[in-house]
Amino acid sequence: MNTILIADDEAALRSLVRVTLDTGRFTILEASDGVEALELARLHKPDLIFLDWAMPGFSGLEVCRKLRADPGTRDLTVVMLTARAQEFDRDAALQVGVDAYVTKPFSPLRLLDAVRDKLGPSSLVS
Amino acid sequence: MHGNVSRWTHGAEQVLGWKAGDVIGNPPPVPPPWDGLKRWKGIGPGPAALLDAPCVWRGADGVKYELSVCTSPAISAEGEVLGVTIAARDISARTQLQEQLQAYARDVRESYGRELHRLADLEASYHATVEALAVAVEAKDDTTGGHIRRVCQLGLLLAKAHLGAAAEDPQLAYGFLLHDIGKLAVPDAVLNKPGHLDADEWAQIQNHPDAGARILAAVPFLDTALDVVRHHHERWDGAGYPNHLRGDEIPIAARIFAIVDTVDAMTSDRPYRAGLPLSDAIAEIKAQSGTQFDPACVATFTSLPTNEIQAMLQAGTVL
Repeated sequence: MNTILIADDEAALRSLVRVTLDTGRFTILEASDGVEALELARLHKPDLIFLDWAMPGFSGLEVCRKLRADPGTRDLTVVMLTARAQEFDRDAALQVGVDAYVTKPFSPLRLLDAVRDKLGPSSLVS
Repeated sequence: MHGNVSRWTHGAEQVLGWKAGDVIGNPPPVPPPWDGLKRWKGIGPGPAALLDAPCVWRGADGVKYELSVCTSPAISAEGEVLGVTIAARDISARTQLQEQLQAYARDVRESYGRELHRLADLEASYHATVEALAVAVEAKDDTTGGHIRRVCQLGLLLAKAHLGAAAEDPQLAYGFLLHDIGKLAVPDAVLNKPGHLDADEWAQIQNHPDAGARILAAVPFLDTALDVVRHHHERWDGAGYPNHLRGDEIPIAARIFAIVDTVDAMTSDRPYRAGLPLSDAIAEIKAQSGTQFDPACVATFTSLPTNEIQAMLQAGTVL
């Protein structure tokens, strides 16, 4: 079964992302800070990671940098999901190797597109 | 501080239902979040010990209220906790809103899933329609049995090797399947004529790519598929038909298709001759690299495993 990791320190946001994606066809993990996000990513090698930027522990940016530096997690797909909407923020995130950058308030369709592209349309067909 | 209530505001009466007179001097009618309160001793004088801590309290009416609680200790100079101010806000509305938001999110997800499902259905019926048309063309031209099926499969094999993920575009398969639909516009007498064609007959044959593109022009779901229909007889050196395109002017799908169409024509048995072995056909394709065919496509083609090509050319492969 495919796995998705949602890393965000806001419980309400995590739960909203979960409800947006959860068709029951993949496992969804949640992390509430950067340290936990990194641990879960290393342990479970999720197929798709939604990563908040501003989190306690490590920031999303640091988490992504560490994932990219580790051969075991280098190729994981990371979508930065953040309220930081400035062009230079986006550039900084792309620089550390995020695969996509989605700003909050997020469009649920963008998240679903990311899941469709990564896990295939059948994972979302109801 | 004895743990009894010393003040009970109007707001507390409103939210929790108990009247000040019934509460003051007694222990709180509902237990405050004591876990949070214990932390005061550790932190000493300072700001509120609890900030927006969510908790559930039961009101006088028995209803559970979702509250966000802030607490602030009053602490003497000696560090003694004199009392506690508890401020609680009813956040039921916020919780309801969050739940409403999740209901929207669920609906968006379900609509998205249904949309993907419809899209898959639509693609499947496009494909079935295209196949039905292709079979109709094949039925008219009975010398080439299974040709369309074979070139479609072989074409997709070459396209995948040459274009990667772009080969998944269904337009490619549609174009391969429908490439000769224009033959419907060529009289049977010309199409099936065994001997030499005169100039007029040859012109009618050469008209089939344009005729095919015209037949399909009104079909909204076919777009780049028409590249193959219109240009599968162009040549890399510009000596092909109908538009004498040369090199990169020829759409890539048509350049790919020209190779597999020729390979299949050479290796198929005809009433008047047996098919060539695949090795001879490959040698001929190589020989025509840069004249009839795109050299890059030829290079990709010759790098394909011969047994896979052979398998595609076997009659009876299921489409």
